[in-house]
Amino acid sequence: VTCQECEELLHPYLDGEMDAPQRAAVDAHLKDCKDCRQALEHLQMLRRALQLPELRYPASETLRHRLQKQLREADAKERRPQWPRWSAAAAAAVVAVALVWNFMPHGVPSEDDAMADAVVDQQQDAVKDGHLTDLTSSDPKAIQNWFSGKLAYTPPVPDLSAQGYTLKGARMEQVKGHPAAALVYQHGTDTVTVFVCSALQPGDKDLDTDSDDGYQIAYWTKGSLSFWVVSRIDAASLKQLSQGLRQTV
Amino acid sequence: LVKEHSAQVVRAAIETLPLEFREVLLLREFEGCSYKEIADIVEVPIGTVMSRLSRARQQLKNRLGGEAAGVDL
Repeated sequence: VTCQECEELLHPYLDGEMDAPQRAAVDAHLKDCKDCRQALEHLQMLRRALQLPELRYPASETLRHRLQKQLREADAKERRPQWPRWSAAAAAAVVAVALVWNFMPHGVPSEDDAMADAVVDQQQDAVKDGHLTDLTSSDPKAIQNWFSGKLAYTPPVPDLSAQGYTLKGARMEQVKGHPAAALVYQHGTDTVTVFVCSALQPGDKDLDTDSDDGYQIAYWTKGSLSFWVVSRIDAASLKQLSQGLRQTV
Repeated sequence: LVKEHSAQVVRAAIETLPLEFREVLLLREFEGCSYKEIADIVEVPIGTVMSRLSRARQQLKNRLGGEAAGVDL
């Protein structure tokens, strides 16, 4: 590895986008080259500067609604036949929002608020497109099998029929750019969707609730997974269901 | 106060980056996307993601170089 090559390779090196032999080659060069070590140090400093929490801001209500409206209009123009296209559009939506949000000074953000917004958006899109499930099944085992290979984890698929929630199926989702399992239950005329994602901050976090655009949201973290229950059912029922669910999963 | 100033300086520097550089940088640093994810979202090859990211960081570093004592650069 020459210094010139190394300069380019430092980026994937820093981003963890390198296989072991490449990494070893860069390591070997860094060991002997002070200039490249310094270049890496500069990149690490730059990354730290970008992690200043003040650089992240939520959007104002007005801006958020305007963005959501624009994104829906853009979506409506481009019908999405299946989920991979859909997830690209959803990811692009997250980006559009992120690009603007990050540069609109409006106070201190919360990861949870952003996640709550994201899952409600996904749910609204799914309802609007009439595409709630990629796989229609009432068999928890079949749904788990369907997710294997699609996700880095196996989502628990609880049977809630005793509580009056019928398993309808599941779909793959992209929540804030990360793959997630969406489990769909029916309760009377209402749909309850349970999003299972990799936790941003693993650990055990108590149940919390939120509401957005007519949707009730309950969420918690257990170990490496976070759970987001989204529905239009009343807040008390959703909370009760979620508390039960939290004990089960 | 020092921190606030730093964030302002960094934000101003990011805002001066051309959009195509800014988007890959923000996707990587703020959204934590992989190169593959960025390539899918921006709809360019991974090689282009890498070169844009490298140029984005280079430009940002140059812009912050002189005036960012508070940022520890």
